[in-house]
Amino acid sequence: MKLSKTMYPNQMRCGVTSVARRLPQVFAGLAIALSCVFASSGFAADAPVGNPEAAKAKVSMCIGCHGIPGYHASFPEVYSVPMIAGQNDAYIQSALRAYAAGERTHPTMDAIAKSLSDQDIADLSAYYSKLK
Amino acid sequence: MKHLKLALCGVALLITASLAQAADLAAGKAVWEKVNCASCHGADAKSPIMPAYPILAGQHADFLAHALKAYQRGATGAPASANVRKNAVMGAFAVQLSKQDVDNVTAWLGSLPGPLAVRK
Repeated sequence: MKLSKTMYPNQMRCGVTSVARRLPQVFAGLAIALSCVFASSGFAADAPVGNPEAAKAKVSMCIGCHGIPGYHASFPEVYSVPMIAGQNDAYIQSALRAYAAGERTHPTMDAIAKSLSDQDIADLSAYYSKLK
Repeated sequence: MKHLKLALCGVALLITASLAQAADLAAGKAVWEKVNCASCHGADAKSPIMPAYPILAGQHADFLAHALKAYQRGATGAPASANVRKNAVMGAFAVQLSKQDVDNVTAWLGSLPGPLAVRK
């Protein structure tokens, strides 16, 4: 008991001074922890930002079907290819990713989606969502 | 007289055809309400609750029908080569719909005003 009484203030002092000495490290740790929280709360933060202007050099593979009024696909049922101008940006991205991942299958769209980078997907989706 | 009868028959056919069309749209709206599509796609079918969901209003009806059939194929284990969509939520809704439901609800959605267009 005696020992612990005499140790207690010492330990306190030791604790405070060590924290004060380690202040830069503590801040660094906090910063890392905070950045992790922000990164996980919105993973879109590190996703590429879409640039509609940059998409203009990339739409050649889209317009041959989606830019032609009355264009139809024929498998397995005959249907008009969807109108994508004015569609939601995030939905176009999700559709392209679903094709690339094989969750949605269509021979042409699978091949095109797999050829696109994340930046291409962001650019094309920004372009078509604003094209009204 | 014969021509008049033929003309009357033609008019009658036109009227029934347009009535049938109207009934399909009303039945389509009923499907939309029964399955509660609005809970995700928005009451006007163009204001989804999340931007990751598509605008449906005014989209080509035959494309929307194709999409629902692809969800049905995806939910019933068709091979990837069959043109499928694998999505737990949409697959579960799509398999509840008959072919007639699909035709009606997509005809109704295609008839709604929306922002979608063919542009390049």
